[in-house]
Amino acid sequence: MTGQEAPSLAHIIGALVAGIGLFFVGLAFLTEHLRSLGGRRLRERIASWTRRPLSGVLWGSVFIALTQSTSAATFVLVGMMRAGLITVTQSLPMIIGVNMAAGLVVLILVMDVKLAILFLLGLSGLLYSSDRARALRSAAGTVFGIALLFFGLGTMQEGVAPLAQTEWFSYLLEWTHDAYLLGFAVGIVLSILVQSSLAVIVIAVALQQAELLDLAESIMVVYGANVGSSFLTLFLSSPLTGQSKQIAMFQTVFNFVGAAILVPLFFVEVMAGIPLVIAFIESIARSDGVEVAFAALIFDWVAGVLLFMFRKPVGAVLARLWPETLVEQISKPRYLHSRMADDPDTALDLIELEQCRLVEYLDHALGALRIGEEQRGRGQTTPEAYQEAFAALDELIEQAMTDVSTQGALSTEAFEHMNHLMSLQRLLQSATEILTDLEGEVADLAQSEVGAHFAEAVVEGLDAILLTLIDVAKNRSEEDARLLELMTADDGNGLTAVRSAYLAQESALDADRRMKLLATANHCERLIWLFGNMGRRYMAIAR
Amino acid sequence: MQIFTTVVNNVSLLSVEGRVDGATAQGVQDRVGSVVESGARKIVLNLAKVEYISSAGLRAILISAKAITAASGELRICNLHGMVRDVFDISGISNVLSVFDSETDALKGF
Repeated sequence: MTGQEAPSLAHIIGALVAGIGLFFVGLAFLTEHLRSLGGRRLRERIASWTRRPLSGVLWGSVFIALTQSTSAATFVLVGMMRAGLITVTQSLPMIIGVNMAAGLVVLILVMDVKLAILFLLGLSGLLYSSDRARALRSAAGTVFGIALLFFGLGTMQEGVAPLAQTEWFSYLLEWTHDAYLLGFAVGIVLSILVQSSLAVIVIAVALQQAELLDLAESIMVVYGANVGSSFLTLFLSSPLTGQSKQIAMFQTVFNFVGAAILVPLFFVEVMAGIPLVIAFIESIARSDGVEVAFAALIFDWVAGVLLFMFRKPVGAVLARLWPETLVEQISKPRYLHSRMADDPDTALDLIELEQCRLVEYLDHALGALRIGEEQRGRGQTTPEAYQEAFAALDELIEQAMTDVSTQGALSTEAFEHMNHLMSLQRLLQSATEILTDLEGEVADLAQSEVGAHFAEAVVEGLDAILLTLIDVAKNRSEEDARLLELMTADDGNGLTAVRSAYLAQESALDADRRMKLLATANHCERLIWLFGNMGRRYMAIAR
Repeated sequence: MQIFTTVVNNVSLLSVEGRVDGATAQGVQDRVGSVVESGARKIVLNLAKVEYISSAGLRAILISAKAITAASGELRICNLHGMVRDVFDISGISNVLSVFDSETDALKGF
């Protein structure tokens, strides 16, 4: 192939795939190093800076600059909300900011920053791999991620540019010429495929610069790309519920609102010849590529301004459609906060209160094991969902304990208190794991009449002990503690006799279910021991 | 759920029938409470006709027992069977409260 020859389709696709690959590696690099760079404290600071809606919009724009993907930024916000760092109300202006700044990012991308990116990529890469600059590794990794992300986008741009020289593409474009809805659909599909509306918009910029698409066609690809990113968010958020879903749906609504306004305006302008958005863009931007970037900017800003004005009613509708789930209630800390480590004694008390919430919610997880809808009633969650919420809160509690212990000014009593809290946390972790195992066993036993009776008795018996433990955790009364001691005593608990009686009914249970019954009894014994131990820990703290 | 109250030799005998669960547990607690308020200090809870008891039911019985003990009285439980007995045994409550096989045994020596 000579320098004059058009590159093969394989080369073009290769460049596109390489660009997409580099883009996502850059995104992954950026996310990973940003996390270790900032950690909880940075996120908490951001949370405190987003209390006001307008500052939320500004911080949203920082997010898009960092993630380069509205979907990725949305899910970062979901993570922050789940960690209790921001509320849904705080997140909505941030989503608006994410989208409004996304338009600006396109503008930056169409500017010639290639040389700067090459230097940035090289220098940050050298710094990242240098053994002498270990302290700067996270910062270098973050910069390297950003540079790689831009480099990937540039590779994509350069990759699609030679398409102008291929015959089939010219035919295809001729065929799609003036078929604006097709361009819109292509924008949607590509955005879903490459998982970034920004990447598709950059491709549209490249196509317009190569004169493969005119401004009107490029605009429809841009609109489609934005709607596609909403479909992507919709798809990615399908497992979400409650407030997490509210945030994801606000992002989905954002682009649908933009499309609902601008697509009809587009057709009015094209069909009726009334000068509107296209005419406006042509009047303010004269060079190809920049015009497309302006189209993206207008889309995001029209929807952004409108949704900023109506964010409260939209938020209220989303809250009604996807109300906060029990899991979300559990996973959000109620007592922990960033500055509590300054006063270790108070911090330990707050950790204890937060931990006590986990003990209380064990009751919900146990309630979810009840057989049949009617019995379940108040158990509004599954043990797996509880475990997910538990894991989120568990991480925060562990982090809080680390923060307090590294303060260095703990008294002997405070260390003793901390020791009990750490033990309680381990016991809670074990209890949660056992409950998850117990769920499968109980469901299996419920298939037979005798097994169901045993499972029913196990769940109610365990819950009675747990309710007494909750009393001990909350009130620290000696009377409740004595009661719990008796209920969980090795020689006092009658589980062994009950288990033997059920196993004696040989004809009622097959071999497999007998094994399940044994396993259930075993887990039950372990839980009883854990509950007793937790009660003793609580009383040790009280004394 | 229904509760029938009789008095035998100065002992209040409460016979419970049906399911004692989250929806009905408070009823047990309230009835025992009113019997204690009326001056009774020796109370027997006959669970012969209880087919199901939940943790909420057990809790109601425990709270009732505490209230009776606080009033210098005593609560005895009798006629546990099937699932109800299993729940009492697994929860260890059989070891906490005075449990008797029959009403006669419960009334004996009260």
